[in-house]
Amino acid sequence: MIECPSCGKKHRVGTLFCTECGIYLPTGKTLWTEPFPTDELSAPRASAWDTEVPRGDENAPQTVRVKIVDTGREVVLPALPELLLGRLDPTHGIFPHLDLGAEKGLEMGVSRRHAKIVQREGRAYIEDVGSANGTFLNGQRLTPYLPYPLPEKSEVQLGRLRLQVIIGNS
Amino acid sequence: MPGEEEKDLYEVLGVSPLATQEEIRFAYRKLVRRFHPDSGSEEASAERFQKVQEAYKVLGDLARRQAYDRRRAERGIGPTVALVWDILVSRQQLPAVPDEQLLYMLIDIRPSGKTSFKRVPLNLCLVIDQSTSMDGDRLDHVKAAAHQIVDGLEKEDVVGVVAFNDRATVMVPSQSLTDPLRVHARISSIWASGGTEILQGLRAGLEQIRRFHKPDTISYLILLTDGRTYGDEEQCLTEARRAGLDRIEISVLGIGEDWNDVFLDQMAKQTGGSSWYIAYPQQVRTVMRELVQHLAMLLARNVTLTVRPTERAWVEAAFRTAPVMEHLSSEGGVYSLGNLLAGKPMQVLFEIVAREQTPGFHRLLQVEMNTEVPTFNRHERLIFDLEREFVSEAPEEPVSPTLVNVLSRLSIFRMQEQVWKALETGHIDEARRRLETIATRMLDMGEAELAHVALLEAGRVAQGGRISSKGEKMIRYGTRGLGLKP
Repeated sequence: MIECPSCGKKHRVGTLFCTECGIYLPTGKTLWTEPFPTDELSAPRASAWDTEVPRGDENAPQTVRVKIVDTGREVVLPALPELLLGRLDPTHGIFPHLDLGAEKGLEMGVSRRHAKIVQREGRAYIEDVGSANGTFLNGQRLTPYLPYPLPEKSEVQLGRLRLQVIIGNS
Repeated sequence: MPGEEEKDLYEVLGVSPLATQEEIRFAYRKLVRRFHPDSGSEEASAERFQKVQEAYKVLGDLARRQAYDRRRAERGIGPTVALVWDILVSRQQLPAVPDEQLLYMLIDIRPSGKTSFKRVPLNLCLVIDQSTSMDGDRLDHVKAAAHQIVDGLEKEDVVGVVAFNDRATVMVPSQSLTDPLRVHARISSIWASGGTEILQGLRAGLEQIRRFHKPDTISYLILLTDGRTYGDEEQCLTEARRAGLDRIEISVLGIGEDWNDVFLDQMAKQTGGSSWYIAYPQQVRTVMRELVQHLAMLLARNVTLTVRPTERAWVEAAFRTAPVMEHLSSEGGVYSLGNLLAGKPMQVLFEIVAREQTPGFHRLLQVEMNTEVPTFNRHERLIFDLEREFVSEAPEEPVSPTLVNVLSRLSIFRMQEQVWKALETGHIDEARRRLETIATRMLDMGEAELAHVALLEAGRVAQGGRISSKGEKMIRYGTRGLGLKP
């Protein structure tokens, strides 16, 4: 039997979530948040509900390239209508498509749910989803929960972390 | 080499061409044990081992495997199936100990992409509450939704409309949609008066549906109501059970706060349907459109999962985790999942208890999926044997993010179930505590609105020992909807 560190309820070995208080039981051991590879940002995490929209439609979402300005590391995010940027927190069920935790996200003031890149009818938008330290687009601070058009190439700053965002393959 | 047919890679690994990646991985590991030159086993053979390696290199990688499958299909081998499944199990190896252990098995059932959906004629009946409380906005929006649905139907579909208060009126007897104008006119003439007796409406609606009910049509009754029915609940459930046996599905749209969600949800479930909470009349159209849109796009009928336990392992609990969260119960090990429609995910989670002290490979249980595929006019079956290795020192294994994602949502859903139980049994403090925990988890997940509701209701429970009926419905249907959200 294993004991929930939060409420003390006993569970069978292998249980992942406490039925009493909803805590993720293996927390403390980084069981599956594998560290970032050194040369590349980790690929976005698969979510059970992500479905890539078929290509060919000119209005279909495009892939998004994100480059960390300070370190020069780069990652290509899949062509999804919505991409969440933030820091991974499995205990609380936050699975951003781009996890900036290992990019000193915490020190740089990136929230767990920080910003969203949304693609609708062939246009891209960025929206701050109530982050603590704000999202900046080309130097301008965004009003939370308001989508702003995202040019093909732009500089986005999450808290103090600077990113270069490129929509599509260009 | 001309003349010599290459050995089929699936045969090399001894798995079915329909095997999941999980099964392939498992078969590979087992064969490696058998044939590895250093394994010390009697069958050790460098040549066989090499073959296994090569086969796994292709089949173990989904992209390579799909390319291989395409080549096979071009040669005319390889099955055409309508449904495939992905099976994810929380652990590969288990400790061989006398204690019971928990294992999660997540099953995703989805279209193989090799078949097209076939539009099946619909046999639809709308049963509309016309009691006094529906007067005004509610009835107006319901009527608008009904008009919209009729506009979306095809000529070969059958539609009927029943309005009810203390008694039922057949506004449009079930008929093929040859005269849509007449149907529209009849819908427009529904007006509100009287009380709510659901049994009356239900019976009249089912009677209309049965006139056109054939095995190859989808028969579907949508009940719209905003009130409670008194004294006829048992009879309603009996009617629903009979409808379920006849494969007539009932869905319920409850408007506002005063309808009995527990009863109506139970009624819908008898038939494989479900219930929907509509907080504002404006939402009726959206929900109705959503319901009917996919209805005709049927890929597979009556999907069932049959679980055969062994003395080592059995299912402790089963849940549907997409499109909406719900408890699944089995009848003799058979879990009914209903129809698979285009664009609707179908996902099931099993909690399995296993116990085995002897190290080695052991079969834990068998899962079988059965369904009817109208496009091919045939029956399809998939079988998965859950086999695991028990070892004396089980290593720490990474847990699949997909599984954690699903489980974290499910855990909130289960906590709210416990709230209702606590309230029913008068454990006020426990209910308050659980509501507060739910609020915290919701907030963490970014569900600020639901978190707020849960917190408000926790306060209400603490003061008066009761939850508001609006809060209850918002939490109940909100957590159920967690299955839908990314």
